Parts: sequence; structure tokens; C-alpha cells
Amino acid sequence: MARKKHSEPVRPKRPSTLVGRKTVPAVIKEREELERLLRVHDPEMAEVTRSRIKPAQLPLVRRIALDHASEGGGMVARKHAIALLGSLGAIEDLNLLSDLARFDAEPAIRAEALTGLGRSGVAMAVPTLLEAIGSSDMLEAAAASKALYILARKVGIAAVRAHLDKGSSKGKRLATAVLDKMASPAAGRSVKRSESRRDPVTLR
Amino acid sequence: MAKTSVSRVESVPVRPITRYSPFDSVPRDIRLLDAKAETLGIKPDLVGRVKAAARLGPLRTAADLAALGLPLADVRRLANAFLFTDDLRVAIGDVQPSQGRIMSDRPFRLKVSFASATRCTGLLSVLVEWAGEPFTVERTLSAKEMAKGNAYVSFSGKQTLPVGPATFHVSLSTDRGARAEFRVTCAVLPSNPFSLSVSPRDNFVTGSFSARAVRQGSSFVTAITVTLSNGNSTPVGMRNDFSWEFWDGPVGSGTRVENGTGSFGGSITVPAFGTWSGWIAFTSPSGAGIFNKLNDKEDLAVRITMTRTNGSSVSGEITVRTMFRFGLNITRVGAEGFSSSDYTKLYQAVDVTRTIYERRDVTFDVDRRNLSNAQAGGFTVITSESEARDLFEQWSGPDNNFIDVFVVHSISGTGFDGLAGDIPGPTSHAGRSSGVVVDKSGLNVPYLGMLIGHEVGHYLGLSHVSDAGNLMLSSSSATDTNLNYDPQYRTIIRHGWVRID
Repeated sequence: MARKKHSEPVRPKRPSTLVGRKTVPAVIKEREELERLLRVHDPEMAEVTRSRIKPAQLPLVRRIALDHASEGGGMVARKHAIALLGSLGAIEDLNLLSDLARFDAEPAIRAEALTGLGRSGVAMAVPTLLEAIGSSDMLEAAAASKALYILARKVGIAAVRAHLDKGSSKGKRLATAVLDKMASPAAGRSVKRSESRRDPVTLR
Repeated sequence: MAKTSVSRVESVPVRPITRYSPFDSVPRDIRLLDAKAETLGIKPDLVGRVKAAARLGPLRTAADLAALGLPLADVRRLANAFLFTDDLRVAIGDVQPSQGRIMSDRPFRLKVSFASATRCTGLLSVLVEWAGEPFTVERTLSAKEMAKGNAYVSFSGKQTLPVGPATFHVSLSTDRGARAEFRVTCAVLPSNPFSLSVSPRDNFVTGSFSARAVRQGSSFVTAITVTLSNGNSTPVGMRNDFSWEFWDGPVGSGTRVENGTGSFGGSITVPAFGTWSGWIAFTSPSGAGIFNKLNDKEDLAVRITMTRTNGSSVSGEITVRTMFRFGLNITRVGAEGFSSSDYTKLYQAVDVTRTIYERRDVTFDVDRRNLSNAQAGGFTVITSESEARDLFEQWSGPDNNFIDVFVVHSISGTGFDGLAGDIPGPTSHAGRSSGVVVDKSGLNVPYLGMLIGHEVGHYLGLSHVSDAGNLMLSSSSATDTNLNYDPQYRTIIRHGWVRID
């Protein structure tokens, strides 16, 4: 049935006051462009971002990764900058990723840096992962566990095991459990469909 | 004959006019971490250790603090609250109107307080979200202005704002490559100096056009928020009763369908330079004039009138309409990892998503669901598209014809923060395409609300666009929330899971 509508109000406008782009420092313009590339949402666009960022832009990608915890879209730009550095796996970025994984105030950033360490494929990252895998922060511990799995797939289970003595006993125990599970015969991917639970009324 | 009645009223807690949204940034006092730094917020013996080290030489990184033997939690707190020597980062501490308030149709200035530890120049940019089209005001900052730690952004006579909420998204970029962001919302007060405005219930997103009438059983329920704004230096006493009128067509020029009165109860005083809000729910049973109009998909207008204790009255109005609707199964993945505060923020984000769609006359119902940590297993942190599709395959449902929205603790290492199973998504709960997944995004409410809206938009058939401010931009921020009529609205309503009452 056709809707009988009132006319929709026209939204009023105000003029913007913009600084001419020619007078804006090049590094600011370059960062604007990088953030536009990094603030993507979907997998196919993440591929586009990876293909468009040039090695010369990596210092600025590192700068984005290191910025303060940000509002709005700033967090996603940071996360994706860290993901990019992790996927490149450059040795010079290991310290940066490790510092973010250990010292950043934002759990989501620490989790991203831990995953980046896993993706870097460098076994030297194991001690940082062992420190995080026993964390009381659920996200940090889960990300460290995943990162250890990703790292072991890249460098081999034995290479990761060789570094386990560099962690606490709790970290070593949890990491061993991840590696043992990987080493056991594949159980096959479960495709059994199950149903989530409805939240209890007391939560709503 | 059945009649519409006021089924519920409630006053809303008063919010400060310069921190008007619960989603605004929290002000911070950010300084340099050196031997003179006060109030570090850590144990006294550790303070001594930090200051002694700072006297011996500059602290340059968080690793320097960790080397002093500080617990990780303290290192994280200090690295976030302070800048180090030679730190390239920049931080915005606060943004406030320079006169303490913004008056309608008057030029104004915002004072931006910030901190940087190195010599640099900057670009200050303010994106304004208000009832009209968003606009931006920029200015450059010299090295001297950057060193001063605060600067003003002026809004001219052509950039004045009407009464109502306005959100300012402030960013500061430096020529050293750093950037900081801050968000603040102000209630713009009437210069005339008193007004009443009507908006959709619980609406914090500016620029909403209409309130929603929802079918509940054999009735329609319409919920609205009434806001009284006082731009004067003396409080205004109000009578607690109100009158309401629903019109077929614009108020005053169409036909009055139904009218009546109600009361908020208690006493109402609108503070000097402040606001007061309350919400009203109307129930229109089958057979009532309003029910019949809404059932015929006809738009209405509602006018609310209130009276000051001095006898003068004030009124405001808004369009009311029924909407197309669909459903979302919002499923927390790894439920134990969501605190009660996280839970509240998640559903505030879902409300933001709903407002985004309701501005385009589409609404949705929500089924609140969860997967425990044990059920979720490795799905709490998604590290590939394939894993996200495993999640859909194993956990889509129940078979209620709602879209599954899985909210995970993190999508890490991938470069994306959301995924829709397909464009459009299937009208079944089977296979590897049934659902969308989103990173909980630090539970930043406006951003997460936009992200859920974006991925659900894909599921409903929307592809990426390049129109500035649109929800379906491939790369976007919390402020990109517009949906157009053609083709976006027309596409959404064709999805098999979208219906109209």
C-alpha cells in the first residue's frame, strides 16, 4: 500500500570553513589518506588497503599504531595499522608490536598487537605471548592463545616449544595445551549447527 | 468508540548542557611525565621510583617505566595519562564552548585544550553534527599556539545553530604525523529564550525526522521525547500537565484526528541555561482514529503543548509514521567477557543502529542472545573470514527470520572489523552466509552502532557507495550514518525478512 507522506523537511545547510589543502603540511594530508584506507570494514576492502599502502608510508602507519587510544574511527585505524605491520612481519616492528601488546591501555589494541606478533612468524615473539596467555583479561588471553596457534602454524610447533621455558609456569602450561591440541590428529571441522541462548530477563 | 490514551510518562535525568550525550569523550588532564609530574595515580613507593628515574634522565617510552619494575597495569595507566619526553603523540584533553554555553542563532567559539611534548604545528578540525547537513570548521595552529596548549575555533554568523543538540567531532593533526580526536555534544539553548521540542524516544542522533509508531498486538504505540530548553538566567517553573493533538496532515492545516491531556506528575522546573526532558507513550487501540490512520500507512503529526506557571504556553511537533521492520538476533559471543557496563553499551549501540534506520523509516526488533565462552570456543577472537563463516555455519539461528548479528570480542589481524555473509544475505539460517559479525570495537557506542548498521545494510542488499556521510561507505567513521531513499531504502524494503505491520 502506498504511504501517504508529509513532505520530508529539507535539512538546512551551513558553509564549511576549510583550510586550503595546499597549505596543509604533506604529512597531515598523507595521514588523512592513510586513515581513509585503514578505516575499512569488510574483507575485500582490507585486501585493497593492503595493496595500496606503499613501503614509504610505513613510518606513518607505525605512527598511527602508536597514537593514544582514540575516539570514533581512530581505534579501528590503529587496529588495522597494527594488523598491517603484523602481516608484513618485519623484524624492526617486533619491538613496536611487543610494546603495544604489553603496555597499551586499550585491551583491543593489546589483542591486535598479540595477533600481529603471531602473524609475524617470528618465534622471538613467544615470551610476550606467554606473558599474555595467562592474563586475567579474557580478550588478551584469548588473543594470545590464537596468536600462539597462528605462530606455530607458521614456524612449526617445535620452534614454538623451544621458547616455552622463557615464560611463567602458567604461561607454559596454557601454551602447551594449545600446541598439544594442534599436534593431536585432526578431529575434523565440526559443522553441527547449534543454537545460542536467549539472555536471561535479569540482564535486560 | 476506542480512543488513544497516554499509557506512560517519565521524566529523563537532566544532562549537563556541555556534556549532553552519554557518548561524549571524557575530559583528561594530560601532561608531561617528568620529575615535576604530580598525582601519578600509582602507589607512593612507585611514585618515588618514577620521579627518581625522571631526575636521572628523561623517560621516553612505556618500556622505560616497565624497566623500573612497575606493574604492567601501572605502566599502561601512566603511558595513557601522560606524554613522555620527545613523545610524538598529541592528546586533546577537553573541548568546551568559550562562554560556557551555545545560544541559538548566535556566533560562538569552542575552546580546545590539548597537549604535545614536541615542537610542532597543527591542523584543528571540527565536524558539526546537528539537525542540518554536517559541516566542518578548520584552522591551522602555529608552533607557538601548539605550545600554549589551547586554541579557539570560531563559528561565524553564517555557522550559527538552532535550538537542539549539536555534536562536535574535534580532531587535531600535527606535522609530526600524530592525531588525536575528541567528541562533545552541547544542547544549543534558545536565544528567544524558551522552547519546547519533540523528538523520537531516546534519540541522541541529531537530524531525526520522525517518531515511530510500533504495532503491539492490536494497538499502535507511539513514544516521543519532549525537551524544554531555557536560554534565560532564571529558572522557569512549568505546570506538569500537557495537551496532545494528532493531526492528519501538518498541524493546523490538516484534520485533527484525536487529542487529549496528560501529566508528568511532580513539579517541573527548567534550570537557568538548562534543559528538562520527559517522554510520553501513546497507546492507540484498534478502532481509534490514530490506529486507523496508521493502519492505512498514513503519516500523522503530533503536537505537544505545555504551560508555564506564569500562564504562557509553549509547543512543539513531530511527524509520526509506521515503519517497515525486520529483526536482529544480537548474539554476544563469549558472554562472560561482557561486563554489565559492556552489556549496557552494546544495547546503546544497537539503539544507535535503530535510530540510523528509523531516520529512513525502517525499524527493527531485537532478540538478545548469547554464546558462553565454552560454546564460543575460539570464536571470541576471529582471525580470518573463514572463521567468521564457520561461526555462521555453526551458530546461525534460531529460525525466527531475524538477521544474526554476532558481536565478538575482537576481529584481529585481518584489517577488517565486520563481515556480512552475503549481499543480500539469505532468508534462512543455514549455510556459511547467514549472519553478520562485528568486532565489539572497544564498545565505542556511536562507532559500534554505525558498524552494526553497515554490516546489516549489506545483509539487506546494500553495496558500498561513495556519497559523503553515507552508512555504506567502504571506509567510514561513527558520523557516516546517512541512508538515501533511492536506491537504499527501496532496496532494504525488498529483502525477504523485511515486512510492514
